[in-house]
Amino acid sequence: MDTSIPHPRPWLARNGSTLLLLAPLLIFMLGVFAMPMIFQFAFAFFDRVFYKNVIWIPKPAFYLGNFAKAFTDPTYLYSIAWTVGIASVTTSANILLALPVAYFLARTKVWGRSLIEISFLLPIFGEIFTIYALAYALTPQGPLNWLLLKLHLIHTPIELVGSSWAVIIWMSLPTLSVLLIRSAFSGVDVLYEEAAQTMGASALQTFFKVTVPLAKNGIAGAFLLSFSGGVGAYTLPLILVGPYNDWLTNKIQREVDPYFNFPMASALGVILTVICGILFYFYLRTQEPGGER
Amino acid sequence: MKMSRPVAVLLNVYALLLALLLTWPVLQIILTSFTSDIVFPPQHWSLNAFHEVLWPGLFKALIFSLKMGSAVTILLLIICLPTAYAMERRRFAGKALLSVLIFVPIIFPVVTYSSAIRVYVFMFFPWLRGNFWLIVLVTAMWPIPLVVRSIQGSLANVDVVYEEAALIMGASPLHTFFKITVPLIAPGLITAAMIGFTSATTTFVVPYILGSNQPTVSLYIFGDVGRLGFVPWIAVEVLVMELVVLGAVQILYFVFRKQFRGIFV
Repeated sequence: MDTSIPHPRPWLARNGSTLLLLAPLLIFMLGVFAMPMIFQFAFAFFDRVFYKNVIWIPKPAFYLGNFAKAFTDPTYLYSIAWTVGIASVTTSANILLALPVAYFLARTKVWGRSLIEISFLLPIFGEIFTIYALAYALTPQGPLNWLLLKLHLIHTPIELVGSSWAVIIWMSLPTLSVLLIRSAFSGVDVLYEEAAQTMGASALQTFFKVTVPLAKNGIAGAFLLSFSGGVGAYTLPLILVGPYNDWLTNKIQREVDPYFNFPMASALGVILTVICGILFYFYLRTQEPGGER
Repeated sequence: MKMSRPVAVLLNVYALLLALLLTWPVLQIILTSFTSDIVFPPQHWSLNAFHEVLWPGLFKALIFSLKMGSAVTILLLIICLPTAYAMERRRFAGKALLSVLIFVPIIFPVVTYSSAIRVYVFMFFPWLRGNFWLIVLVTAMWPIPLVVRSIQGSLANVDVVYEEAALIMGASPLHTFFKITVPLIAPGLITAAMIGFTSATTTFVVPYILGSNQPTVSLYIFGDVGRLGFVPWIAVEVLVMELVVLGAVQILYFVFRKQFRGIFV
């Protein structure tokens, strides 16, 4: 009779079924996401040669010129700075506008809750409608100019379609971040706030010294999502500002589409990916101390 | 924290104003399509814009979009249902990592990976350019995290006991999954499918960058804007698209409101 301690089952027998469950996702992500991204990284180092004095064609090489150009050529440098700058400004505005309403939704009875909640989901699932509607709302004859004229804030209608202001204003409005921060606030026990208040803290002090730090993880998540949305904004500038705008995403697409300069497009794509990657890394750093979410 | 009454009222007004601002696009589209005019406040009501839309082209694009949305939804369910099940019910090394990595398609801009895929396909599989299934594959990327999270959320609400009972009584794991688990999470599953469906039918970036052979409805409208500018009947086209796609989702949102709350835990 065998009395020895039974061997633990081999790794594959224990995890085989889990692996099978995860297989579709892993195959999909490797094939459709990882492979093109790896090749994008490789293409970013390609050189170009002037073929028969007619056309520029990409040539396999290890060439750092694309990155050098991205960081020295004023057009590209301006575009990178513009994209990141606008994304930081709009994201900060977004979070600041989201905090009060998220807190309000998390803590108290709200009049018109369903309407408020669905309005935050609308722009995400109907991005394309929203953009076209904005184009109508921001014309010189449109409602925004009408309102501003009625309030005597301006004397002549302002042309917002075609300027970057339309994009900046719309990106500053909180959408998804409200829902994310709301659920973070719901996770904060009211007891801590009450304790702070009984010890004599004012409402604002309690909010910024107790509630916000405790909901830090969720707020960081909202910041990450809205920043990457801001950096990756493509359709909004394309339709509201026009195809020749300064956003990096549109530059990438333009390098691919009319010029077929895919080494440059890949280099810009890698830069954008790295920007998001750095932010993602910082986000993960903020999540670590808390542990569970 | 107790809020004083004026503060609560003020915050409620603020929230409602924000909601009005965010729902304004819908009102604006309705207003523009039924006045056939872009002046605010509207001078008169008219249905002229409806006569000017080239309906056959729009419907063709709409049907193509719906076809694409359905294909994407099926693909998403094939990918996400097993993943969500594994994430919720199994223990494995790297689970925490995977639950973070799953958000990669949302965090990295769609434009970067779409243009990467475009170049990749152009270099290695040139015969696939503009192919329906290629567009479907790439469109399915963005909603993956949302769909997985929403299925996971509804799985978390279902007690494991029922599945265990079925297993003890001799049902096979597959049988248990389809006879016990799937019916229990059906509302969440429908919500998840609707999320995938809407984002796939209205997607613009992926078919635009990859260059779909046949226009999706968003590409069709974009083409019209490029030719004619923002004429009032573009609003009618947008309204029709909105009614077809978002209408279904808004109804489902009100029916399955509880499941929607679980998406962004």
